Amino acid sequence: MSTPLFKNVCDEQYFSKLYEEHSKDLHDFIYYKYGEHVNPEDKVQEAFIKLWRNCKTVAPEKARSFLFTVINNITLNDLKHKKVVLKYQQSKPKQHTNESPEFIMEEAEYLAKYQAALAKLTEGQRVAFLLNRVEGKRHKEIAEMLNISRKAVEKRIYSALEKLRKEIDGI
Amino acid sequence: MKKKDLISKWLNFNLSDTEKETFENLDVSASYHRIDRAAKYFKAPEFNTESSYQDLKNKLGNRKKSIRPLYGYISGIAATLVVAFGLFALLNSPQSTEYVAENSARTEFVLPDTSEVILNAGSSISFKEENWDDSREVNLEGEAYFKVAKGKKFSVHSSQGVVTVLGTQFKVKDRSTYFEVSCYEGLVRVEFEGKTYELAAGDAVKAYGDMVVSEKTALGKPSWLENKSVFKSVPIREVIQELERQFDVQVSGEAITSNTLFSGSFSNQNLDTALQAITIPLNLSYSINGKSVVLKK
Repeated sequence: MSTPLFKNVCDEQYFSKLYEEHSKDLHDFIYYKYGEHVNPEDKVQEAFIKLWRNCKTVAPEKARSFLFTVINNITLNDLKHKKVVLKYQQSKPKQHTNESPEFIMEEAEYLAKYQAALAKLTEGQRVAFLLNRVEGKRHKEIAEMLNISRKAVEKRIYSALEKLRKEIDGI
Repeated sequence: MKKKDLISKWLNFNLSDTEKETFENLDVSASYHRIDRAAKYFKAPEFNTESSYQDLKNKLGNRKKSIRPLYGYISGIAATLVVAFGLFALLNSPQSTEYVAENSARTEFVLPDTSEVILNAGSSISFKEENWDDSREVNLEGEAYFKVAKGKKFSVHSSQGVVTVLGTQFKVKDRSTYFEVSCYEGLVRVEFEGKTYELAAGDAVKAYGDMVVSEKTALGKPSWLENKSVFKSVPIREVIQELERQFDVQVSGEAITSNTLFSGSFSNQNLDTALQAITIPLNLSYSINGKSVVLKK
């Protein structure tokens, strides 16, 4: 059905659908942008509470951009000028069967360098890069999420990659 | 093409085969690959949409009560609307389309967006054709190979896990006590027992019993597309169940509930050869009687 079924987002069923569709993106967006210490999950909930309270005035097609704007503002109000450090996970995404002690040590060193290099990226570069490489999002999707052009996304991700390589390889 | 454009295309999962080759020949491609792989270590923590929505509903609980009296006011009109809308919904409700591959058969078909699906023996898939443009979701029972056309998120729901992708080639095998996903191209996300696994091309994850194993798959396509069933460290009972589906037979006797791991393959075309391929390594003998097979020591 192409005509919108709901005039606003007050319908609970529709509201839960919005939650299902956007909450993870919002969460990842805030996590990659500000890091863990801002409690991205709480921010997601606050944004949706705000949406619910304004449900009569927000048109369904505006809900996504409303949520992204609101969650960003909520988080910014919460913190100012803190340096972001993303922690790397203890559990490894892949299994290595024959890990020598040298390998493990080298891997740990590599990740430490990586972490430092990530912290040196600009916020814009980091968010776009991680959404792309970790969450597997296409340039177009990221452009819609961040409300910037596709070209800008491409540029941010590319420069992030180059910067990381130069930092890590020590060139 | 300029190096920068090539790298950007790689970053957007968009390289053609020849471009891929050029990319691999760049002196820095190894560094890029490593950066790409290691990025996964920085993944955002798992976000559970369902439980967090429950939290939110609790928080909103008080708020909603105050709105409720309004419903009373309009309930008269609403009741009339409900009847009308119910009728409308009934006539318009999207019908599920279902494809089934019976035992010892294979079914190939194309989804509305030109994604290709091949169902292995004894499997079925259902999806809602009408909503296809909004949500590319299919329900799978059994085993299937997918070649997904580029586009919105594509999800495969099975009894044990959810697999989501954007545009790629992969297979899902969901048989009562066994779950396996192999990725042949692109990037696949598997949600299984509350955990998320990211598979790049050539990765596979399989789960049986309490074990979850990540491994590599060297194959470009599932072996059963070439009429072979290939197993690598798979419990023997799964192998026998696969044999039952491929040849539409009932197997009884020794080893059919065994958890011993089996590595090997059998042909899906000749029951005799297939049985030999399984029984010889296990030191068993077999007898065929119509549609039933008995394994003996």
